[in-house]
Amino acid sequence: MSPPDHHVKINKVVVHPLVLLSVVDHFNRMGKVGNVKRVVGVLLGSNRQGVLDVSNSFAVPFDEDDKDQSVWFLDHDYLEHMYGMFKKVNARERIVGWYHTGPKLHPNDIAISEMIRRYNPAAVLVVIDAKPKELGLPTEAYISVEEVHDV
Amino acid sequence: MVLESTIICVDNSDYMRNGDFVPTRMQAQQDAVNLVCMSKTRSNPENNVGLLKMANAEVLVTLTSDVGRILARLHQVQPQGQINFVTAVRVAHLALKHRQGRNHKLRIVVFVGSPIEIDEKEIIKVAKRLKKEKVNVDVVNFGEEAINTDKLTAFVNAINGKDGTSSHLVTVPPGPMLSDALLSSPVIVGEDGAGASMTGAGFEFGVDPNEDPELALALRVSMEEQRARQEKEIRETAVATTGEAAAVTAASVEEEQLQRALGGSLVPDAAVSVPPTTGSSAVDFAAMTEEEQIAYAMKLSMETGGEDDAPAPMETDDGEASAKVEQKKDEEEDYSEVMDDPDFLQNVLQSLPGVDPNSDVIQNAMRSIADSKKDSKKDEKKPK
Repeated sequence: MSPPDHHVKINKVVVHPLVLLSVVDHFNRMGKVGNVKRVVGVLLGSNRQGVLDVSNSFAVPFDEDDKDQSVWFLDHDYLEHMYGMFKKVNARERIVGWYHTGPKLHPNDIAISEMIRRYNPAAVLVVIDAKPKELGLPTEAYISVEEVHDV
Repeated sequence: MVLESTIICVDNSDYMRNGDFVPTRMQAQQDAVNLVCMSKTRSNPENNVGLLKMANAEVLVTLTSDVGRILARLHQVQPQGQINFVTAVRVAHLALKHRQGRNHKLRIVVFVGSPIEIDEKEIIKVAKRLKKEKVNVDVVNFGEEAINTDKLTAFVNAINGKDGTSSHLVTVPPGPMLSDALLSSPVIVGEDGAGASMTGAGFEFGVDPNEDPELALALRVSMEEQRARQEKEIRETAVATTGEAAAVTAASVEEEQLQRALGGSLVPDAAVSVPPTTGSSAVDFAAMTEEEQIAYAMKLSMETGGEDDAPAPMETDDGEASAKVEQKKDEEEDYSEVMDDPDFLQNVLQSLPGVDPNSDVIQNAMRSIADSKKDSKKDEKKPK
């Protein structure tokens, strides 16, 4: 079996059902607390010849200020610890990106992406809509592209 | 011993390259942060501390009780950018909301070393919000006091409100003493003066009773025993100098030795009378001649059942106390040699005040000694 290559550009993202279930469960848990804002988590999986296989995920403590977009907090110590423990039971899964329940993109997503990029430079963002209004795939995957603007 | 979760906000703007604090503001700040971390974790081992850098309001270390981790990340911080006071404090508050210790008190310690550009109104708004959430904020103002002091004072006053006193502002003028200034400030000392003494030197014996109670207890007990012993000695010499005929019963051999040593040591100086063990009149060592000293020593040792502790002077010309004390080890040999002369012994016994030479016990003793002496003489003759 050829080893998963990390450097091939991703053109397709496949999300396993376990991930969707886990995200919806997390969203509902937070909903019960009364915190109906979005929830954020990390995606684990592997990249095989341009197809990103997202096989597992876990939620991370996340908080942000509604009014001030630049005020957000993501517990990266928790992230590192959790990933370390996941590695113990499945060494093949790596951090491939992160998710939030949107439903839309937020301005500080770029900043959060920067933080996740420290763990994987080719991190993707998957917006998983926990309360979809229409049929179809509830997920949308994004990658960050650096552009140089001539201002 | 307040159960507290603290987030320390360090200023890592370019202003921290300034050298008005020795060696640079950044280093002085790092020492100060070290101090605060240690004091928080020492005051209560369950306390958590986190670290945040203010330039882009990034949490470096989430709440933990591992000071090592905090210091490691702290030393990697480089001066870069500009701080945003309000954002930093808000993010710190968010981080505190996600703490593990739900019953911990919330505290933010902010180090400000660069000018704050933000409007005072914004600052007061944040202060009011934090006050509502019951967060205490300590601000360490250094470097740019002129510009910041007003804003920060307004901030701290807004947080404290009318009656609260749990938030403090510490303004440190330039110089080498940022950490020292903090040591005595309410940031470390706390509201009720608790949690001060940081180092082991602050505690008695250099051992923290909290960390090692058994060791501290052992040290304290031995110190008190030593003190009691010394007091006893002093008391005895004091009693001797007053010349009271106090019946100090020789409870232990060691006490006798001590008395004799004391008495002997004071021979060349002054007339010190050592309290007698039998209750007879006080014996004046200085006035006694050599022989009388020997006699007294013998008497004492006989009265304790012949226990061999009389510091019999070996060389009669050397009447110094030190010699006596040193030669305690050679007692047995000295003793036997002196005892070998029954005539001398008889003389001594007769001169002793309390002893009746005609008593049976003494006679028996004398006879046995004389016999043994004869035997040894016979033995000596035989091999010849």
